[in-house]
Amino acid sequence: MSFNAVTSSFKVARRRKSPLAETLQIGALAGLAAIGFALIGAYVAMDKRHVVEDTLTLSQIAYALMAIAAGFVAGRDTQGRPSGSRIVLHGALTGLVAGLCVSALMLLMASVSLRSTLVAASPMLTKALSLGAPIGSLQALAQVPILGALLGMIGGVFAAMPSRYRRALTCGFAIVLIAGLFRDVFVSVLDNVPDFNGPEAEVFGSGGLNRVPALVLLVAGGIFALLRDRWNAGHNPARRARSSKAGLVLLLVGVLILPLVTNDFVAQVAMLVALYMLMGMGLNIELGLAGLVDLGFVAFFAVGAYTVALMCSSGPLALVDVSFWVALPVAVVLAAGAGMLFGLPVLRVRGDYLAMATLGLGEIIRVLVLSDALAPYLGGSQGIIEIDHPRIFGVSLQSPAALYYLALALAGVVAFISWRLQHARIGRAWLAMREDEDVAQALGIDPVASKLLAYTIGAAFAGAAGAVFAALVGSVYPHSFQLLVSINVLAILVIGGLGSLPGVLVGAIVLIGLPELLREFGEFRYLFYGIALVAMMHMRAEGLWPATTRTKENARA
Amino acid sequence: MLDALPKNLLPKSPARAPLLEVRGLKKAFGGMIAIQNVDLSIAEGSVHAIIGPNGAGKTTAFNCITAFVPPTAGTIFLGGARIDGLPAHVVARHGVARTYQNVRLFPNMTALENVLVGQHRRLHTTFWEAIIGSGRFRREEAEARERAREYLAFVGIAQRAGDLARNMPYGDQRRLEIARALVAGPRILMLDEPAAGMNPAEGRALVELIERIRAELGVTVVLIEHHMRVVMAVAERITVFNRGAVLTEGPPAEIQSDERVIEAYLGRRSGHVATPVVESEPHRPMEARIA
Repeated sequence: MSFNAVTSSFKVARRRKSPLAETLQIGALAGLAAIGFALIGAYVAMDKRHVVEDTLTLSQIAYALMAIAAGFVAGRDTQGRPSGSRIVLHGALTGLVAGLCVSALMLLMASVSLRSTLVAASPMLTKALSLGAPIGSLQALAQVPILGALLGMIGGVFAAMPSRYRRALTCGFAIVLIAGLFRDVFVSVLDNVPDFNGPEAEVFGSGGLNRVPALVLLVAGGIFALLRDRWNAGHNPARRARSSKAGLVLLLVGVLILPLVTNDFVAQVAMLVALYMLMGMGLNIELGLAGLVDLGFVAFFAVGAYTVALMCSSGPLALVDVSFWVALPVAVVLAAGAGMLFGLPVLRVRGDYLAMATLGLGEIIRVLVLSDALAPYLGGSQGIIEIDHPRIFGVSLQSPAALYYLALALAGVVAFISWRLQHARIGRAWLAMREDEDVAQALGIDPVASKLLAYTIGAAFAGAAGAVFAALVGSVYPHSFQLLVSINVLAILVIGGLGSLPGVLVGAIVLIGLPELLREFGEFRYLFYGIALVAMMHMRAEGLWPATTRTKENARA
Repeated sequence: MLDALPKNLLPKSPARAPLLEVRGLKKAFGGMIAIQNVDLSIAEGSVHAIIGPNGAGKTTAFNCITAFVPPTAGTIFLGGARIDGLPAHVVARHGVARTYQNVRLFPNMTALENVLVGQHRRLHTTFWEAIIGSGRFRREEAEARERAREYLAFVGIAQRAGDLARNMPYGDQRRLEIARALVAGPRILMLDEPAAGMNPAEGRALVELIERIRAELGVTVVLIEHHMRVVMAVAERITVFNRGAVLTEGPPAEIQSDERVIEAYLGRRSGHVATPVVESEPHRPMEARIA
């Protein structure tokens, strides 16, 4: 993520200048990024995470990526000029400058105490940045720029090498990074494999990969990428499409068996991802198809959750105590009704004003459930507890895995409905409204009615997600329904690709799943959201898995 | 081709009942009066042109009739039913279709999808039928696609069905816009400068297309146009706008020799000269227009 952010900020800064000035500027920018990274406390926090046991920590990798990225950009910019050594030289220079910036920070921290204003500028940071050398020593100060220069040089070489090898290296590195970061997931999977005692102890250390397996993975990833390139180059596009389809099937199989092969924690995270997927699909109808910017999405989520809470709880506030399967449709209908009720006044406004109006709506619901006036019915800040777990054929769905499948099944149903509507009269009307509301109206599309339908369906899906949420957590509190939920769902859509159903899956995994699994990111979660969103807008505005750009082939159907 | 369509070939005779009847139309934007006392009578099955210098209020009149903007005063009747004061989508359902001066397609949809959206009011399957995928839904979808292809072929861009609208050449975009308007089965088609940015050959093709719209589909056509060649070739009657009011109306030959029309375009003999045939906007790429 930091790699993307750094390269994109360079794009903004790049102008026509002398190559040397440009190189120095890129280095300084990388240095500033590195200083910022340290001073917000991210460096120390991520230093605790070992990707390669006792060798490389996550924050060291982040720094290395910054230097390599700087070298890469500098090298790329000098390309077109003949000399290869020059590319390497410029790369090294950027890395050196970036490293000097970090050394300057260390020097400053050694001489002045910054802690009163910058809490993160702690002795721990100095120690971590010294990489084991005596604190404040010449070695500690000199090694960072030297390392930076080396890494920058690698970045330069990276820019100069044929893209085939570049892809191979990236692939190998990504595999090592994923294996190291998600050690816990892989260990839990290996644990579940019967009669396969303790290979994880050899592959993984207590925090990350061991050195030899890391090297093996790096090489294996590289070879894999090279072979794949060869395969793709040697065959026709149809076969290439088939191999990418195979990838999709593999992903789906992984999604299906995931909670069976890992531990409860991973299943719980997967359940959260599935829940956000469900909400994402609801908002996708509103925003992705009909173009309605809805910041009050959480309101309908709350309606669904409270409906199930009031209908399925054995606590004192329950109105009735019925099965979840009775409460679920009621929750969906009530959420849809609430959507229609609020939609009528709100949907007459356009664009940014709609965002404001719905934002207010989300807050109204939260304040209402929190209020003293409704506390006798909704429990106020105490919430509603002791919600029964759903039962199916007499079996209580209690384990995270079971609830994951419940959420996943609902997400599947919702995905199917979205997909069907998208290719029908109403879906086309939504798309048309998003593109040009006036023209759509002149073609006979009633704008308020079709917007209201999109809003109501979105609300119904949110209500379904809320119902599942209440059932799986077993309790509802007002603080679960904050604005941030709406923003998370919105971010999922933007990252995944507006209007794209697989995009919702990818977005939910990236924005909900990864931060849950990487606890170190916890504090910096929203920082990375921000960086990721800005970087996405710069480099891939259409999302990670964009809606299909329809071509002649598709139109044949 | 176009088997599903009525082929009421109408004779090109002047004595027909008015389809569109506009009386005393006025539109003021704040204190600025764009049009005033506009009377229009469009005969059913005719091709009627509206001309006039830039800023004369032609497009404003169009916008009032199609309920793009609400008129300040005046009445509008379509086939005897009053349509002023109705929202735009209801006016569209009465059988009014239009195109725009700056082509306004749905740029990120394919040509076929644009035409499918145009069929909105012809399709009837409900939301539930679409989810279940009922037989009626599938039949109607198949018919809609078939009809969309017929209309793309009618305007001569069948081979572009799968192209994104924004990637199409300008002339084809104009044709697609006409197909999208026609596919709804309107009674009256209002074209706002359809020949803008076209070369003479394309202009001749447009004249032919308009003739076919009237003759084969039986749709009444009103067009705003600056290209006099096109207007004279296609229009049965011409209404001239000047300074927000109707200057005169009559058959092409009469208009061509009318002193007041020449004066409106050229100014008085002592005044400075303006070009009589105002070349409208040059070709601009789609991106610039949707920005």
